[in-house]
Amino acid sequence: MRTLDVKLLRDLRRLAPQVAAIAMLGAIGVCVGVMANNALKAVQVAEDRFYADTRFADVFGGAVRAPKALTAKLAAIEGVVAVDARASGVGLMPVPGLDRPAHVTLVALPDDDARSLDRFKLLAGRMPARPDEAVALKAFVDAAHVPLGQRLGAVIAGREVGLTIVGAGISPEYVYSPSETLLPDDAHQAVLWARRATVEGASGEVGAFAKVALKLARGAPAAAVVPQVDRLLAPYGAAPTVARADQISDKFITDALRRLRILALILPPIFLAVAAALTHMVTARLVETEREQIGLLKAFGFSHAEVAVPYLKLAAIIGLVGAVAGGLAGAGLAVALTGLYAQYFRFPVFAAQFNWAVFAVTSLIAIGATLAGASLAARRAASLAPAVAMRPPSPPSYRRGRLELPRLGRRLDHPTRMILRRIERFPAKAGLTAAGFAVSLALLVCTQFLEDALDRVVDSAFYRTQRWSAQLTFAHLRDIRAIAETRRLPGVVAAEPVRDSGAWAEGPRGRKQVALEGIDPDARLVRPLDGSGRPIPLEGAGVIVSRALAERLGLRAGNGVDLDVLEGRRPHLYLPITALADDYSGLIVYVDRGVLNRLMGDGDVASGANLIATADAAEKLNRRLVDLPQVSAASFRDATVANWRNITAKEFSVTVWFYLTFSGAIALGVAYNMGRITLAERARDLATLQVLGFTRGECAYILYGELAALALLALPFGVGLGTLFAQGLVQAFARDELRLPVAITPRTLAVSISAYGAAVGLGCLLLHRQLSRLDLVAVLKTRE
Amino acid sequence: MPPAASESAGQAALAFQVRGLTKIYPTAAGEVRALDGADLDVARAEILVLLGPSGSGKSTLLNILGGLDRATSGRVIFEGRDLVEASDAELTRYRRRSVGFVFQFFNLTPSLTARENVELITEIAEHPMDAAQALAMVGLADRLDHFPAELSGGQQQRVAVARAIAKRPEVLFCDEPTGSLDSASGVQVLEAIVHAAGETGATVMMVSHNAAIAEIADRVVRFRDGKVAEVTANARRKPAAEVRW
Ligand SMILES: Nc1ncnc2c1ncn2[C@@H]1O[C@H](COP(=O)(O)OP(=O)(O)OP(=O)(O)O)[C@@H](O)[C@H]1O
Ligand SMILES: [Mg+2]
Repeated sequence: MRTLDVKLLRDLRRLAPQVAAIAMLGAIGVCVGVMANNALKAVQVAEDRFYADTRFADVFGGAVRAPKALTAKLAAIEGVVAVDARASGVGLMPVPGLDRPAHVTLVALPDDDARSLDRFKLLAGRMPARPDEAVALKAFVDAAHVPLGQRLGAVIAGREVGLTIVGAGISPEYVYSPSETLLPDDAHQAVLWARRATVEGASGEVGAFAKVALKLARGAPAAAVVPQVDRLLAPYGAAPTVARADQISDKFITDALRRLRILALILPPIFLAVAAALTHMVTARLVETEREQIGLLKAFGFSHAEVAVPYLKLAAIIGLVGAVAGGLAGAGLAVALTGLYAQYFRFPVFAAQFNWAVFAVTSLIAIGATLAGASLAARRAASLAPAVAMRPPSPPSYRRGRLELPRLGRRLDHPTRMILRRIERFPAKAGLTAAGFAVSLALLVCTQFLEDALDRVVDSAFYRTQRWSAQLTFAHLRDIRAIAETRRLPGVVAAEPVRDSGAWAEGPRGRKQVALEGIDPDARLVRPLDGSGRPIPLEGAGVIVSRALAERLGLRAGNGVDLDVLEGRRPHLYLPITALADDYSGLIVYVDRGVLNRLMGDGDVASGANLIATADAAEKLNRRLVDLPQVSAASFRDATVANWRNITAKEFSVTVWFYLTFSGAIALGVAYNMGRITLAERARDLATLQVLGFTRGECAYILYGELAALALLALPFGVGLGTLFAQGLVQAFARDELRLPVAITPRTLAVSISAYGAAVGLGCLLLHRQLSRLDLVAVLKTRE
Repeated sequence: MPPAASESAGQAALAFQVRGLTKIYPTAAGEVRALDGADLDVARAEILVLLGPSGSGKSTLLNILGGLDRATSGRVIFEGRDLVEASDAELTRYRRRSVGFVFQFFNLTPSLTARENVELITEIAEHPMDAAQALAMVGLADRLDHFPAELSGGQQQRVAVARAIAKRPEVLFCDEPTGSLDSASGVQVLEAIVHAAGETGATVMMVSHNAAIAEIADRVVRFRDGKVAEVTANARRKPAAEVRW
């Protein structure tokens, strides 16, 4: 081995903790990239295989009592290669062990499984052999603890059907199956498949279909097919026709993957940039201490490149160690993350994947980053003139600092003065350190903010805008007198009618599927709110529109909005927008129920009721609801929210720790490395001070005081930057159903600043070993 | 005063021919003429000691002759080529092949042992001697695997001498090699330099503040205000061991 390499190895050993700290940051960057991409690949591979296996359709439509003959017309649409129309019905179903009835969707099994789409894949038990047998969604069976062989009674369109659950499995349409509120609630979201005759009998739709799925030829544009299907289904229209990209289950998966992809794009560069900056600091410091050795090597005829290469090698080693460690950790975490996803996305074959290409690319980027970090120092080493290098650098000239304000200055003790003067004397170094701290804090704020933002969304959606404790959906439009009946249900103290419908809304910038929500002007259980949380009243025939919807459509208050209602005779409406509602979930158009009824040509009708019910009567209410033939769905706020909190708490407890640790690692790495550099630069100083009678504690104060001052200085910047990051995340994560508010709450600040302080403190603690090992004699004997 | 050098050294046996060498440092306070038209001839294999007041330009001359620095004007002829005109790469090659340095501050690499410090240089040399042999030459055969921190100042400087001589340089430049040593260690270092130079046939140019050291030289060059003020030849070189200060 060349002697320069021997020196490099010894330097490495001496610098090992610093190298490790920087490599750790590089490793995190690589790790997040590898983890996210491996998990993405795992989901993608599992999804592709499952979709192909089960012939997942491309276009999905819904209808009420559509004649079977219509399928021929659907099949004739250009680009359509297969049509699968099924009878289906929805209703409620009490399940032993559950406190409230589950929503049930009953779907007919195909006559010919081989030619069907969206095929059910059996994972346990067997397929139905008799009319009164059914197979169920595995997610439901597991969450509701329904044993195979259990007999369940579903109430569909007022008719009770008794079904024995003989098998469990999955379907590509219900990989993820959210509740009405879009929050997951597997135990109360039952999907059952039974023989066609059973389903037709239950839904009373003999010879008709309620669901249709279409498979398109490879490359056929769904966008062209969807309107044609919509037109054919219009006379029987129930739900709007959607392409796969808007299908609830697939969309949820796509969104989850998109979030992961965004993290994989944002996080690694931040960590690698910090690693590069620290590599720069460490190598620059190394060149500074070794300038005489560099000069000597040059005096002896080493070329510019030869003296510069060791610093680049050092950087490459840092990058390489980080890449390998990060790759391994990333692969491991990807397995864990894949396991986590497997709980949500129940693909039958779901195996962890290792994406070599991503590992190779992120490793190269990591090594490139540390090399870039060392390039300045290497250039400096190469350009050091040998004669200059031989002269020791003149001691840095200090001045009385501007930070020492005259009044304050007199009261400052000398150690504090030393701290302030150093910060002022080396502003670039101080600035880089503070910047590193700020980035760390910003990421910490981001990890915490997400949790608070989701909280805010739930609070706004379920406690401020939607204020009902239970919501009933009627199987068909019902006369307003039905509301009086619901008021007589056990425990109900208030009931308000609603009339909801699906619609397409159109503005100059686009067309969106929306929820048209008809409420009474004096409604108290649903109140659209403005930006400061005040309820907005409905005015005449004007509508109130979700701000996010207005933005997507390019509309403002005062404009009119075009609405194609997907119900009844499917009228086209053009209504003035009187105000925008600042809500966080759903794209909603609020309209006066009376106005909507009139425009639809209906009498005084409601599609459902919002209720306030006392908690103690909940059990009785639930039992009654199942027997009400007119009620096809019921949502309960407290249960929904509690269930959601449960799930997010579980999910967050893992990921938040994970990201908290990662983000804190930056502060730790910066504190430790900059501390080491300061310690090395000031070892003589500090040792001399100790020789002169300063205590070790006082010397420690000089060292940590500087870090603490910079950490404090970085605090407001970190919070500011964190808010910016949060805004970016909110933009990147924004979806139609969910928009996150940038809510930096006191809790967010408290947790993130505590973690930040802990990370900086830990860095100092690690430094302390070095400081207490300071060998006075050795330090004073060597000439630096 | 005309240089006396050419009389004592034949043209063919010249190591350096220095003519009108000038080095000007532009500084904020005006020009500093570190060298101001210095003329000097250096014979092959002679030991030359440069004396002179602080700031008179001794180190500057050494640095230029050693290829560490560039003159503002003048000529330095080494083996028929002018160092003042040489490119960076040529200077590097020159230093790599022909020059050895010993500095006042030993400038050893602290993370390498004595042997490794020497090997660092022999690895890039064309006809080096064995590192152990070089260290034996300076009386450190029993300290091969010591790190600089485990050596005394004099021992460190002898490692530096071994490092400089191990590549068998044609010229050995020593800038105050005993400057930070006590007299006993200083004498050991001088002995090492003289012995090693004798073994390898190197020309030695040594800057010193110490007039006593001048006695080990073949010739003594006195510097004043960036010029050679006087060159005297010693009738007899005094063995380094006999020098005292
Ligand atoms: N980089 C520089 N910039 C400006 N002036 C310089 C520089 N280097 C040297 N000098 C000046 O050049 C002159 C000669 O310096 P040099 O180091 O050659 O002196 P010296 O004879 O070696 O002195 P000493 O015995 O103290 O080492 C001095 O006046 C010095 O101040
Ligand atoms: Mg000098």
